[in-house]
Order: sequence, then structure tokens, then C-alpha cells
Amino acid sequence: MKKDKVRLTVNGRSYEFLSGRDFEPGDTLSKLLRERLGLTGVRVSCEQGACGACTILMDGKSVLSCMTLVIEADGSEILTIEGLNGKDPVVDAFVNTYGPGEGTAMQCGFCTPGFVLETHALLNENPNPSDEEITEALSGHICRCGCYHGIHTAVKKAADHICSCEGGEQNE
Amino acid sequence: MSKPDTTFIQREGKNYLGTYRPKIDAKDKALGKVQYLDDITLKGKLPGMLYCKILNSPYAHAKIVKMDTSKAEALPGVHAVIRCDDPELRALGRTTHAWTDIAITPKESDTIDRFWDRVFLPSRALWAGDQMGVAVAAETPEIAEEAIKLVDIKWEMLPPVYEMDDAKKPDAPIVHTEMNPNSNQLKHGDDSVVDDLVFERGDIDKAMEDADYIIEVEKTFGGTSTHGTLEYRGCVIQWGEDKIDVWTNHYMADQTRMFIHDYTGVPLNRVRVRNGNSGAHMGKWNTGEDTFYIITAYLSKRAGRPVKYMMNNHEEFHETRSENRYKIKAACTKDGRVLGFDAIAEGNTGAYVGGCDHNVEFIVQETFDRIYYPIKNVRLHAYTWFTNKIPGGVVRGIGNVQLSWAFNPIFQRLSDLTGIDLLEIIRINCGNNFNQIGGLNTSLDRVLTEGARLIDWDKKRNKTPGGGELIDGYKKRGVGVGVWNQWHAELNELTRGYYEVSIRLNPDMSIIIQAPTSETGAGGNSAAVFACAENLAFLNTKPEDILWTPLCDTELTLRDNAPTDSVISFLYAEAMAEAAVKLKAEILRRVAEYMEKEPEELDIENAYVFEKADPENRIEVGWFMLHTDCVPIHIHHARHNVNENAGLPYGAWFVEVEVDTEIGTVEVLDMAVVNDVGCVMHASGAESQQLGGQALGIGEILTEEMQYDWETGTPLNNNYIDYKMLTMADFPSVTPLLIEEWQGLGRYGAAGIAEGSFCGTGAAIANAVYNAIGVEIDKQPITPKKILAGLAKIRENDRKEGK
Ligand code: FES
Ligand code: FES
Repeated sequence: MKKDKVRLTVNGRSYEFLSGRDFEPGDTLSKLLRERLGLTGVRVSCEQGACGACTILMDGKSVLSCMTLVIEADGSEILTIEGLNGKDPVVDAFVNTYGPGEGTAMQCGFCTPGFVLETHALLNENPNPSDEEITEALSGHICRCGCYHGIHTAVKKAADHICSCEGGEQNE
Repeated sequence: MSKPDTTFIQREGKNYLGTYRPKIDAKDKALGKVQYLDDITLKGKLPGMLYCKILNSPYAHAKIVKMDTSKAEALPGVHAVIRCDDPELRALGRTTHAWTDIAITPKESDTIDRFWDRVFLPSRALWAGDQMGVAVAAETPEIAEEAIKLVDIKWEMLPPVYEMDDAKKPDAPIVHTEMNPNSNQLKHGDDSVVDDLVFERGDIDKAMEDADYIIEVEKTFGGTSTHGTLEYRGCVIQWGEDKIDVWTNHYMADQTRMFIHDYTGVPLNRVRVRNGNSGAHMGKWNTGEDTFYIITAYLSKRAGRPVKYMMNNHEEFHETRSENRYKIKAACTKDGRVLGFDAIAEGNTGAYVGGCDHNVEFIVQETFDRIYYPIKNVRLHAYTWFTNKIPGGVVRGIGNVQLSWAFNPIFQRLSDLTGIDLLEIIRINCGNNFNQIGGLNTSLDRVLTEGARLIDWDKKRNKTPGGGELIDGYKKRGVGVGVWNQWHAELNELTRGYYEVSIRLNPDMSIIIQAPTSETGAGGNSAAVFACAENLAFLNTKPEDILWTPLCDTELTLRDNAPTDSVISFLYAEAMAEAAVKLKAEILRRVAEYMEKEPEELDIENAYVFEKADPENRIEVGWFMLHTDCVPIHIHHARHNVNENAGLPYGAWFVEVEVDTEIGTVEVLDMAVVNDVGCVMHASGAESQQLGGQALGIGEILTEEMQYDWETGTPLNNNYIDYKMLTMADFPSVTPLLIEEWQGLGRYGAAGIAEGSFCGTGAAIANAVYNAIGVEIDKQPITPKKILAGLAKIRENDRKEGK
């Protein structure tokens, strides 16, 4: 696959990148997003698809940006963590998981954007996941701080929130 | 089944400290706004930046006899090449990686034992992965890597040695001839040690004579697991004309500054080191600075550009938890008492020393006081051996994880011999000489009692090992326990010296604090903010009014403090409490001048200064500041720990496992983690440590295992696909419970929780496996192979005995 020009929508903004000027043909999407656009919430760790830290959403689906070439992403709509704000229900749930027995949904915070975006991908497809479905969806990610219990709790909170909002709208 | 309520209850009610609330940086972390080294040093931010690559030895033991770097130097994009025969590098002499820790001292003076076993870019490789030979700085990481490949090297292969028992042999190849020309044994830091006897108390020979039983164990832990953090070690260094600028994710900027100063001769005020958030630590920075800092610095000097060095995933497997073996003989009585331990502790420190000696000497000695105080007779011989394995380093829970694995099983054996319940045996033999009521340590007793309740010990524990019912025809369950002390109270942190904090009260009553520490996830920043708000109640300050800055900068900020364990959480809280008193005094002094009163005549409440004799005569602090000079009030405070012993509290880990007797797998079904920390600084953060620590704790026991090709000594699975860390799918149900029973020194009197969050996990899993199937595993990790071998042995014995 050879492409001279790649068009992307990143966090709602359109970009056109030229091969040789903005990226090299072998460049990964994570490199472009971090180095060219300064989107450092795209975390890069293993660079081998093992940890999930570099997860972004491409057309609503979660993708490992360290394993995706820039040219493969042509024409897609990309959401990185920078495209969310504090009102986002998933972000809110990650922040507000701190109750007795919950722990927290992050410690060092390095893995967190990847988990938040993976949760979005899950809830996009399945707004009301079971415990097992949450675990299955998020098990491609490593959190070395081990906040799995907190993260699981946060995902449930986010799902409850989204479901109750949707339910609320229907009732109106 | 619903979980029991384990909501933490404070001994002394507080508004912010010790409560359940979000981390102060939770939102920034969830939104990806927190920045790590690679984020603040993007190439766009540091124009002209080059990338450093250092050769990793492909051989476990080999020497460079000839090296041609001309092709690498000629490669377009390469700006500097530095070689092992470089006169400037060679003139630097030797260096150490042996736990420079938080005891910052210049090169010449030691507060702890340091071993000068490293050089910058050696010509001899001591493990397969050793950073040696040659380093380059180039325009892209790819060019740098290519340049290293173009270096033509003629090697002389040397015989390697990997295991302790081989390293001891008289004809073994010597790994560090300069440290000890005749043997692979690391000499003791203390010259007065004779015959490797490092500690003795009481009369162990007499204890052995008096014993009803002598229990012998041989336990090994380590050499198989690593830190596994998602952010890797690195730095960017710009050596300009009269100044060195450094950005790093090392956990202590001031320590890095001292290291670079020592090896460049640049004055401390001309070495500016900045660090910030760190993508977890897990102990990796405790061993001090890597040689890559100095190599990067000299490359920058030569190239006249900033140079970045970052480890990759393979290189991040730079150390393992030190491999330690403990052979212990315990003299015991029929009534369940241990009279004495006669122990031989050994360490395989691999190619370099990284705290391994600690695990066989200092920490073992400490252990006898910290947890085995009732055991009066002790003898300890210790040995540390060099080999050509990956270096042993400090991994979270240093030494204590290994020791807990080794000592806890003795109590199980004694329980089996005497028929006395294991928890009772632990109560009799463990504890320190603090918090004692009638021979029972109250902290230890509480954690055991609570943990047993949470896991349902009396009901679920098999009365005889392996005596439980068979589930689905092939699975068996068991329950086990491990106990250990919590770590790091005031006394254990004396080497920090003075630590500084500051409070800046702005005219609008908002506050900026400095409590500089690299936030690794341990949450010292949150605790500092909560402690500040707690102690500024007289100003009605809330945590939201306080800004904590994530940057440590040796030029602009106060001196930072290493976030080992979670001690920063309580040390900075203690300092904040004292700083708040100073702030109050300063407000009173200034307002008194304005009101034409003496400060003693005034007090502050609800952000008003009032006259004690006439409370109606009052001035709002904010009004005063805005309407006089608008100058913020700035308080600096330096504190030193209380140099008194108050003992340490305890933790207990209870585990229920299910063992598949056909394929040998072990699943942790349930866990209760109970820690007495004296005073909780942040309940949510502390419980997060109790929960999260189990990911590493269980991982090391059941899934994480480094594999080697012993033909070449090469690590085979040094990457995050093949080195299996726990994910959400593997994480069991864990119930955390925090307790405040013990009381330390200072205003709050706390002990750490982060490092001590899984010190008993391994021992508890091993004990639960034993309870489930009667198999005792001596060597970590617990693998299906070892389980099946153990079961086969039991069947063989049963067959012999005609059962
Ligand atoms: S960095 Fe992409 S999966 Fe680890
Ligand atoms: S919060 Fe540190 S790796 Fe997940």
C-alpha cells in the first residue's frame, strides 16, 4: 500500500498529511498523533500490541495506534483522549470511583486513557455489559498498578449512567 | 454473595485526611493530561534533539577485543559515537548501582554500603543485555539503531556462570575480578564480619539442644520477575556551554543532580534536573542512577545538541527481583514456640549489585526485630554471589517478599507437628516489643482476627492439608495465610535528612503548595493536599482550593523526595501540619501589626482574625491581604523525622485458592488483605494499594516467569507479550481492610502501605495451595509443573505406604 496523502479527522478536526513531509510510509498512527499533533494522551509503551496503552477510537472502534500505520487510517475518524472532556460519563466514572472497597481506577495514570477509550468502544456496542463482558473487553490492557477492580467498577458506573440517561430520554 | 462491609473507620475523625475521596489528579489522569517524560520532551519541544542508542551485549560473558566504528560514524544522521576506549569516559572511574536510594551522598561518602562494580560503557559484558561497548547519538531512533548494527566487533567469548551453586565452585569463572579476584562472592560491606556470620543473638546452639522439633526449610524466591511498568526509564540531557539540563523520569531529581555533578564536575547550581509524573515505579529507581545518564551526557557534550535516551521494552527488563535462597533451621517446642532460627541466606545478584546484599544481610536482621522479636535465639550467615545473569535489583517489596516466602512456611510445619492452629502459632511467635498486651501484639492480633473473619477461616480452612472435598472430580480448594510487618515508619526513613514543603497563601485565599515528589501512583501529592486542607481548617481551606504542582526542578522548586513505598504521603503530611502552624503565626503577626495588637491577643477562625478578648473586633484574612499589599504569604518548612523507635504494625493476607489437580493450575478465588498502617492518609488511595498490589503479588507467584536460553544466557521473554502480567481477566476478588491499631511517632504516626501491600501474598498463596492439596512449593513461581510433580510425589508416598 502506497499513499502520498492521508486524510484524517482527529477529535473533530480535519487534517491532510503528506507522505515524506508529515509522515514516513512506515510510520505508525501513534507516532503521528503524538509527534505531529502533540496528542500525548496517546500513550506508547510496549509498541507490540501487548499493553493497550496506545488505544484510540477509529470510527468508533478501539484500535491499537502503535500497530496501525498512518496510511491504513486514511479517511477515518479518530478520537483520542484529548477529544473528551471532564463531563464525559466514562471519564467522570473513572474519576469518581473511590468508595469503600473500590480502590481507585488509576494510580500512576499511564494506562488510563487507553482504558477510558476502550470503555467507550465497549459501551458504544453494548451499553449494558455484564461483568464478564466488561472483563473480556478490557483484558487486552495492562495496568501494572493493578487497578483492575477500580476500573471494572468505573466501567459499571459509566454503563449505569449512560443507561439511565438513555432510559430517561425515552421516558420523556 | 455480597461482600462484608469493610468501610474504613478512622481512630480519630478528620475532615480530609484518611477519607474516601478522588485522587487530586484523577481527572487529569483520566483525560490524559498528565505528562510523562516522553511527552515533555517531544522532538518539537527540543529542536535538534538526537536519540541515543547503547549496545546491549548479545553475550552473557564476553570481551570486546577489537572494534571498528567507522561505518557507524559515517552513517548520515549520526552526530556522535562514544566508545569503551574513550579516554574521557575511562577517566571517570567506577560507579555503583547499589541502592543510592534516598540517602543522597556525594560519591566519596557512604551512608549505606555501596559497591563500585560498574563502569560507563565497559568493554566486558557481564550479562546478555549489558549496556556496553559503544553508544551513538543520531537524528532518529532508527538511524541510531542502524549505526549500532554497523559497528564491527571482534569478541572474545568468556565462560559464563549462572547459578549460585556453580558460582561458588573453585574453578568457576570470576565475574568481577576487580571486586574479588579469587571468588564470585561479594565481600561484606562491613569489614568486621568473620566467617560470613552477619548476625547473632541469644544462644542458638542451646536452643537447638532444647528443641522438641527441628524444622528445616529451604526456600527460593526471585530471579524470575521484573517491574513491568508501562513507562520506561529514560532521560534527555543537554550539556550546554556552562550548564547541563536534564529531563528524566527518575523518581528523584535531586539525586540525579548529585550523580551527574559527581561524574561531570559541573557545579550543582549548573546541573538542572527536572522530573515529574512517572508511569509507575515498582522499585526500579531505588537502585540509583543508571550509567545511561552519563553516557547520554557525554554524547550531548560532543554533539552540542540535546540527546534523548529511552529504554525500549526489551531493555526495560534491566533487573529482576533479586534471587534469594534461605536455608532455615528452626528450633521449636511442643507448645508451639519457636526458640530460635539458624539461617543461611544467599543471594544471586547476577552481573551487578542492586540491593541483593540487603536481602541477605540488613533486611534479614531487621526482620528478626520487626516481626520475630519473640524468637530470642538467632544466627545468620549470609552470602551474595555474582553470576552472569540479569542483575538482581530492587523490586517493590525488596527482600521482604522473599523473606516472607521463606519464613511463613515454618509456622505451618509447626502447626502440623503440634496440632495447634496456624493463626495461634503466628500469634505466639510473631510481633515486636511494642503494642504488647500480655505477650500478644495487638496490631498482629487485629489483622489476623479481621482477616480470618473476612475469608471465613474457621469454615473454609481444611483441617488436614488436602483434606477438602474434590470439586467436579478434579479440583480442590484451600485457604492460606501470610503475615508480615508494614514498612517504613519515621525511624526507617531517617536517611532522608530534612525534607521541605511550602505553603503559599494568595490574596484570594487560594493556595499553592510545594511538596515535590515524582507522582508514581503512590499518591503522595493527594496526601499533601489533604493534609494541608486538614491543617488550614482555621482558614476554611478545602482540597479544591489547593494547587499542587507536578514538577520537580532542582533550579526552581524545593528539593524533591523519593516516593519509595507511600512514605511521602505521611512524611509530607507531618511536614504540612507543622507548616500550617507557621502560616497561622505569620498571618497573626501581620494582622496584629495592622490591628495594632500583639499576636498573642489574636486568634483565627473561619478565615477571620479576631481579638480573643473582643471577638467582634475581627478582620477577614482575605480582605486583609487584598487591601494591604496583595503579597502572598509564603511559608517554608523543613522537617526531620523523629529518631525514636516505635516499632511497626502488621499486615495479614488471606487467600482462597482452587487447584486443578489434573493440569496443575492454581486460581486465586478470593483474598482478604488487612493492613494496620497506624494512620491512613487517603482511604481510597490506600485501599487502591491493597487491591492493586495484588496484581504484582499474584503475578510473581503464578504467571510471571522470565525464561532464558541457557546456552547463551539470553532472556527469551523480555517483552510484554511473552512475560505474562495479570490483566483484568486474571484478577481475583480482593477485599481490602484498613486498620489503625498501632500508633507511630509524629502528629499522625503512620507507616507505609504501597510497598507493604503484597509482602504476604506469595506466602499466603503457597500456604493455601498446601492447604488445598498438601503440596509445599519451595521455589517461586508456583507453576503447573511443580504442582503436578508435588502431587505425583504424594501419590508415590501413599503407594509406598500402601494407602
Ligand atoms: S503501546 Fe500499543 S499496545 Fe502497547
Ligand atoms: S494506573 Fe499505572 S499502569 Fe494503570
